Amino acid sequence: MTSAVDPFDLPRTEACERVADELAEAGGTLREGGDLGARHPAVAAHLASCLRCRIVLADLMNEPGEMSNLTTTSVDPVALFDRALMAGLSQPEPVARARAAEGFGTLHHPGARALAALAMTATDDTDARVREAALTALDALDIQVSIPKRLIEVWAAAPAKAAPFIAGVLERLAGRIPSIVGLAVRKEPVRWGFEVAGTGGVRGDIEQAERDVWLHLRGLPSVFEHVRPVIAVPSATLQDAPPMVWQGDIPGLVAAEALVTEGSVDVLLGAEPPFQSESLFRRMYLLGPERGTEPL
Amino acid sequence: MNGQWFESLRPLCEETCRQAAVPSVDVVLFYAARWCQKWTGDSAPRVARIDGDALAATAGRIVRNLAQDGARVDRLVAGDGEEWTGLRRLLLASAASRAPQTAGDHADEALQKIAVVLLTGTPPSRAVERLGEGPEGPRNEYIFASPFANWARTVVINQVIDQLRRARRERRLQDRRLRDEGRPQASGGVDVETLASTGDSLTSLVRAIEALPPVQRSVMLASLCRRDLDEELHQRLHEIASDLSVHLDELPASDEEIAESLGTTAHRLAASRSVARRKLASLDPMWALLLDGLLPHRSTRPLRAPARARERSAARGEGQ
Repeated sequence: MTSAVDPFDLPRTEACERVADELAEAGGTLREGGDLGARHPAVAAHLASCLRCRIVLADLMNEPGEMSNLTTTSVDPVALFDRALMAGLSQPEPVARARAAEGFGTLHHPGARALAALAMTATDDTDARVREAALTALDALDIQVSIPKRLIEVWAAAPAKAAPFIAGVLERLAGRIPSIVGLAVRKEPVRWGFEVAGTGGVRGDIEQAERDVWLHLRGLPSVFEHVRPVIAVPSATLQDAPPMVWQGDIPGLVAAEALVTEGSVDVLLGAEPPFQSESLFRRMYLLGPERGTEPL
Repeated sequence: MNGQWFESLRPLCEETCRQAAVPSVDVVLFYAARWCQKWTGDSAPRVARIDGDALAATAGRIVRNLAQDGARVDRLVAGDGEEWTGLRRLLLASAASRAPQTAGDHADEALQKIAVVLLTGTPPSRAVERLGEGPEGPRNEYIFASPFANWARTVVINQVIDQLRRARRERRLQDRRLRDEGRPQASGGVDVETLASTGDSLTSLVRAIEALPPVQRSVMLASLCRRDLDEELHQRLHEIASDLSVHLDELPASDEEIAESLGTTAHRLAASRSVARRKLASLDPMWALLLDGLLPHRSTRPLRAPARARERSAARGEGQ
């Protein structure tokens, strides 16, 4: 005896994909009493051997249930697009990924997860066109909403939720977006403190003055001039981060009180640093959430 | 754009647009070009090799569907909340008839799939610009070859089917585990709810039919004996249910023949069958899908050559 034919053993095939557009039309044709074979010969031929598509067509021919009886929640297109574009970034076809990346450039409030995915696409996608589209979208977003500002917002709103993505986003964007500068630190050999170096010739140090911890930076790029920058220390969001009293309300996110003047700024990071601080300060970022003197 | 492969489609698009009084030839040209690409799998297909009738019919559908749904798709891509909410309602209604318990989840998942397709595709408002760049797009792009609502419904229907396939695989695995553990499995004589949770949908469907009231049972079993059913399915049904062991030569060819054999009318037969189908569908959405496959609408049934049935019947006779 041959094995049973079962529609549930039949996945969607290339042939199903090929007639997919016309199958949807054929449902309407049949509802209107049209001749399937004459109007849609390719669909008719496919249906003869495809139980699955016969099921789809049978369903299409039935009107959906009474819609007025169904209560449905309002759709939030912003959240929907955010999720859809994220899914679009992992589509198999480069044209789909590139268009999804382009789409991010039009969003006004992309979340941390979306920014992380876009940043990852900009650096890691296998297709040059997709990487370029992602970078263009990041530039467009930066012009519209300032990515550093958006990152600060999502970090401040839900630190625990943002934590897994923030470090990756900052690392990928540092140097690609002028208003995000990566800072690497090296422990001072003799006393407690660190030397700081960033892209574009940024130099500085972290030192302890009595209980307080200060970051001194010089040689900052011109985009930071007359800006009140924010220092981001992603390691502070980790559960096992060494404890320290951070300046401000959000651990690891410290706004400078002074404006950058002639490429220099001093930032009070907090107080009572842990003795073993290297893992905490190993990677920091300087963010310029404002442009010029106007807050965005 | 002159000299591009798709320019050879322009006269056809112009003519189709002229007949339908549609001014945007380039928009229609874009989607007609995308249809050619999708149909041939070639980014620069030779239009002359594509069936002219199919192409003309497609151009006509694109014009009609653009007029009907073009603005709607533009609104969706622009993020119109009311339009998306309306679409979700349609998807919910479509999913509810198949999977009432999980219709909301299906609607949301389908909505996201549709959003991906629309956002990575080309809305009419950008078609002219993209035609200038050279038409391209993902393989699953919506290109107005069918009405938007129908296309959207196929997304959710396919999703429900896939979910049921996954559920069926899980049931099979569970059934196998039970068998390996030596525990008793559902079989004939148990109630239909219990049967609904067993592994083989076809077997459980036939057992559930056997548990129906006498008239509905006779009608369903007789309908499953119809000659236009797939041959392999006949064999399988023959294996499962002794009531279905009708010699192929005696299989009824139409509802009228079935009705005559049961001493009723075709109209009453159809009504009883409809009640039975609804009852079975409410017990297990998988049975509903199976019945759609087994007893589809007459216009979608595959034609079965009587000669083949006779040959097979003769072959059976020899073997006996």
